[in-house]
Amino acid sequence: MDMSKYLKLFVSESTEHLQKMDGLLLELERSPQERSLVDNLFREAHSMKGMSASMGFVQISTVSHRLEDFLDKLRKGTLSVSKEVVDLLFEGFDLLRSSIEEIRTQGISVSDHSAFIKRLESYVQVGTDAQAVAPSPVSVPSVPSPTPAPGPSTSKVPSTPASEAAEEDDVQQARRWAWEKGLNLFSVTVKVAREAPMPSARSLVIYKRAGGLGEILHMSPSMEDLQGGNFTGSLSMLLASVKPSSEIQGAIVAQPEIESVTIKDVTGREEAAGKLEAQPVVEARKITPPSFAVPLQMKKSTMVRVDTRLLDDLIDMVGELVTTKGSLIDNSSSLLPVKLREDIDHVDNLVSGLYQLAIRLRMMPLDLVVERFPRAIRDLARAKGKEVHFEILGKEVELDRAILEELPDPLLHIFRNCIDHGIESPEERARTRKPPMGRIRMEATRERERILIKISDDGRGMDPTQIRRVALEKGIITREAYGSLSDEEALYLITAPGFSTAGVVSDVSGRGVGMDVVKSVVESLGGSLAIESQKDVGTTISLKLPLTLAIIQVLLVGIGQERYAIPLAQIYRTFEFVPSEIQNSQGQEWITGEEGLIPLFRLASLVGTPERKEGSNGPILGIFVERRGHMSGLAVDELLGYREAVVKPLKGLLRKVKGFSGATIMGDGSLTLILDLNTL
Amino acid sequence: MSIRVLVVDDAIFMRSMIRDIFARFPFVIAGEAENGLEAIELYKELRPDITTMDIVMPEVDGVTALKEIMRFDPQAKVIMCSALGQESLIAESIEAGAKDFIVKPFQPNKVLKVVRSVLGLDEDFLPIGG
Repeated sequence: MDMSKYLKLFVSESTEHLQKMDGLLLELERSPQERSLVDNLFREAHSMKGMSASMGFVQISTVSHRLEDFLDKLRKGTLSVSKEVVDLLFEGFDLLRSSIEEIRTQGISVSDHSAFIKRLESYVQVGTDAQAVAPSPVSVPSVPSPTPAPGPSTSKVPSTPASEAAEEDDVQQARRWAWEKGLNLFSVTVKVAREAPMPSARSLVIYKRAGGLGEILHMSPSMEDLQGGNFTGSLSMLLASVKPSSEIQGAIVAQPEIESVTIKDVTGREEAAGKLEAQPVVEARKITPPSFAVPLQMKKSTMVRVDTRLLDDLIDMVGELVTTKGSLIDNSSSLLPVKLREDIDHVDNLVSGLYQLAIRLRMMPLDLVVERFPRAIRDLARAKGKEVHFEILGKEVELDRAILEELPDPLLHIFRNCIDHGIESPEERARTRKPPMGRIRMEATRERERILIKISDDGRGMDPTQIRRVALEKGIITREAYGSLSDEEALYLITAPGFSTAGVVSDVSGRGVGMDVVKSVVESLGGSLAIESQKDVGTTISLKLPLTLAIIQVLLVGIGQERYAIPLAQIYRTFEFVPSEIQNSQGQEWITGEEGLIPLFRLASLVGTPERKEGSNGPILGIFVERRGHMSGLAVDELLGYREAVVKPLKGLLRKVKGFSGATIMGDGSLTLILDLNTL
Repeated sequence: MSIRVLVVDDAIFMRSMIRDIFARFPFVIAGEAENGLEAIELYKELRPDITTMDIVMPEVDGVTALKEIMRFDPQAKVIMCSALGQESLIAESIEAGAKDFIVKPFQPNKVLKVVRSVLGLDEDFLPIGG
């Protein structure tokens, strides 16, 4: 069977299962007595085992199987929930997760988990039952065997626990009984296929079916034998029946997992000759397939699963439509016939509506990105020797997936900061009379056109004085600013580029995601960041985000042959100047504006494009923009007009390139990069 | 003239595989259930010709659902599906009226053979390779 088409489904379902398992285990860690959690974990491990076995992933299946056994012992009380148990289980789940990841990226899993399996097995004390992989000791419930014929003598009822084939005595008894009923007697031997995974259950089915063909007067192995696991792969019975041997044999051999059926007529003709001939021959009825008139009914469902790439394509196209519509409106003048202008207006409305609808298709709950956090935070806290209680509120709040995708790294960084610098060690918390467990809370609420995400901790808070000092040392602020910044303003210094590399952050935090990048990402999505903190009380970081990637207004500018877009939100106004107005100081160009001396930058050099050589005194176009918290002037070659732009965030390697916050597709299908003036 | 199948398993992945096994003449999938409770409801509503029933499921497990279905319809044809290690539950199911069983990982031919056997179908009617 070609398994490759199930690969994606397998990966996504396994991932969901592992996610659930993490959640359950976290809860179990908090409430070790909760039995239902162990039951659920057992079921999840069982599912993992079944799925991976179906796909042929042996290592995953084996690990799942061992975890299932482990959880079974916990279920039964043979093992009790302890810290080591929880850690072992987490480790097992992580191994499974890494294997699934291997499969997701490479199609196969090559990791060898036998070391973990050994540790799991050695943790378990002696006295457990036999391995479940090999045929387990079957406990077939003791139920009455297929109705034993009362027979001529009641003492030798066929359900005797004899493990050999029928004795001659039994045969005689059976013969007499069959003869009296006018039935043939057959000795039937059935060999169960060697590869049958559950031979005892298979035998049970064989017996049951045989019971439908006639009367079983003796069976070996008996029910008790099957129960005790004494099954040799071959069973035999004495069957009294009106049907001819060929039919009986045919009926049995047609069953699955049968290797062979031998049937011997042991009726004992010499005794029964006269009587039997008088019996009418029963016609074997050919079994016809069932017939049905009810048409196909599918279980009703109001949800569909959609490949997210299709959604992205749809939204890209609608985005282009939006931009083209903008161009269409630009180009339509009042000289056009009224009817045409009305149609264009109508198209305008339709396209806006279509865009809104398309974006809503892409709305997904915050839960999708935050579901991993409890586990990550637990691990981080443990690594730092801190105790943290983490709660999430409002994870059902929905956002455009394109925004959602950008959130994990920034959010995780904020959490790391909370744990590294915010939450104090249990000892320190005791000294300030706080509960030993630190609290980190993430709360998401929906405002009318925005999402508000607040991350707060009850740690030691940030010290504005210390921050000011570090900023001064790092040259991020000047002496005057040092004196003039208020405490509230000082907190924002941590989002300044270059602040994070100070010795204030730990190894974990300093990974290329600093608070400056957090701020940058948030703002590139059209949102804003706010920081509040109180010494010894705690810190709250608030992210305001739009619901969807807005269609933002941009100003198109030209540098040489190239074209770039600048978000209108970052523009103060445009202006014009001549080279003689430029002042030079400390290697920086300056221009005088209403607000005073403003630093001037050449966009061409910021972007790395060769400048177009102007006549030495010709006017130069510029824009006053917001850059790194200050007003700056940006000299460009051309101003190409305002546009509505659907922002597409940059992915992958492109994201690391400084200076750009996204791209937009123009009406002619070309791509224009949107500048991020803070990182340019 | 089609044979209507009710597929019961809590994993979308498994249901998907079983669906594909039955995506051939003369079968049609009449419905899918993800736990024993839904299985019972759907059985009563759809009256399928054959049901595949996973054993380990949340809410109500397969054996319990089987028993309820057998009580509702003593002629019901239910095939139990299970992973290794559940032999005693399979045996219990057979005793409770399940007609046969299949073990994961499934092989389509094996599954079809079991179904053919349970429904008493002619080999010509439902040829199975391998």
